[in-house]
Amino acid sequence: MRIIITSLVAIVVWLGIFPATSLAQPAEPTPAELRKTCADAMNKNPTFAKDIVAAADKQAQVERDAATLKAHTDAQDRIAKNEKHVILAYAAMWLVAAGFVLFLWRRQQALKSEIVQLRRDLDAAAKGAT
Amino acid sequence: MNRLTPIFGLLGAIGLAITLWLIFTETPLAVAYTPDGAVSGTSLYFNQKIFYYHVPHAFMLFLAVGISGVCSIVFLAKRNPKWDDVALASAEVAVAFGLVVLLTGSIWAKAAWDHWWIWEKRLTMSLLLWLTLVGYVLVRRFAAATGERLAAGMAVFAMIGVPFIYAMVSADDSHPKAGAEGNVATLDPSMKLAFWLSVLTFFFWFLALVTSRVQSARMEREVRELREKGLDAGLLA
Repeated sequence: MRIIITSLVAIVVWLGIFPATSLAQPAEPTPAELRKTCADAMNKNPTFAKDIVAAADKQAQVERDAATLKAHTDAQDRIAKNEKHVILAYAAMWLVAAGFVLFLWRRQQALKSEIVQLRRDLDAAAKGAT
Repeated sequence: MNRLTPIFGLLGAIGLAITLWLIFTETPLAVAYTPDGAVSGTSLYFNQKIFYYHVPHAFMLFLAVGISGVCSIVFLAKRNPKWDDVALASAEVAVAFGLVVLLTGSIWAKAAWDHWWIWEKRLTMSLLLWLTLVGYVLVRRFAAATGERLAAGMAVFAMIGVPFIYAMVSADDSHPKAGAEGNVATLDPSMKLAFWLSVLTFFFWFLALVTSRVQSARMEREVRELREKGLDAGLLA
């Protein structure tokens, strides 16, 4: 009797630890098998085949619609929050303004030094002449 | 440097800081009028922010061309070089402002229409006006003494073109409209302050540049006179 109880406990423990290997589980059908089963069922029953095709088309349309909507939403977001062009426009304005101010400043500096030089030359030439 | 230049520059800098703050924090990206108003729930794209600088620059371009044209007419009538100095200064500033108008407009067009340039009436006329001003500056730079009068004629020609550019937007054009039904006249009240302050800011900026450039023109005249004086007296080779 003790041997029987010990054996039963051992079996229960074994099953608890290795249930998959201990119990014969039916194998998961492969995609190819599922496809074959489905194709066979569709060949046998044209109404079922029509329903399957309609359901697949509907699912594909839903996915296409979602992709189109996402593309449009992305495009709208890009246009609505168009930071790139705003930054580009403001940068262009500042570059032109800075360039023009630099151009004016450099020209004034050159003119100032030219006036000073000309006056000095004229004074020196006038002194030399007298 | 002219005494007024730094004052105008400072006012422009203060105005610029305020307008930047207003443009990016206070002006809306969506306009929703009440049923009494004309518009309800209009969404504005972010690139509309370019409008606050593009249009004031266009205003200053027109002002500069107008001043250059009027001063050129007075110069041609009286032959007083002081008027010519102002005409030259305004024309050069107009070239800078015009370049900003064309660049910012082109960038906005790319963002809004997905084209850098469209050969519609106002854009084409604006480009021609700018090229005329560039021609004016080149004549002043490279022509001899008679170039002053030739350039004055070009400035008058450019000035005559301005009203056409302003009015030349027909219903089938894609460019925003001008006049009583234009974007500026029908501007949302929440945008008016930022826009008109921006116009005032660039007006100060314009004055600073013109007064500085007039000063340069007077210095150039002084250089010419000193050279002639030296040559006449045989003091300079």
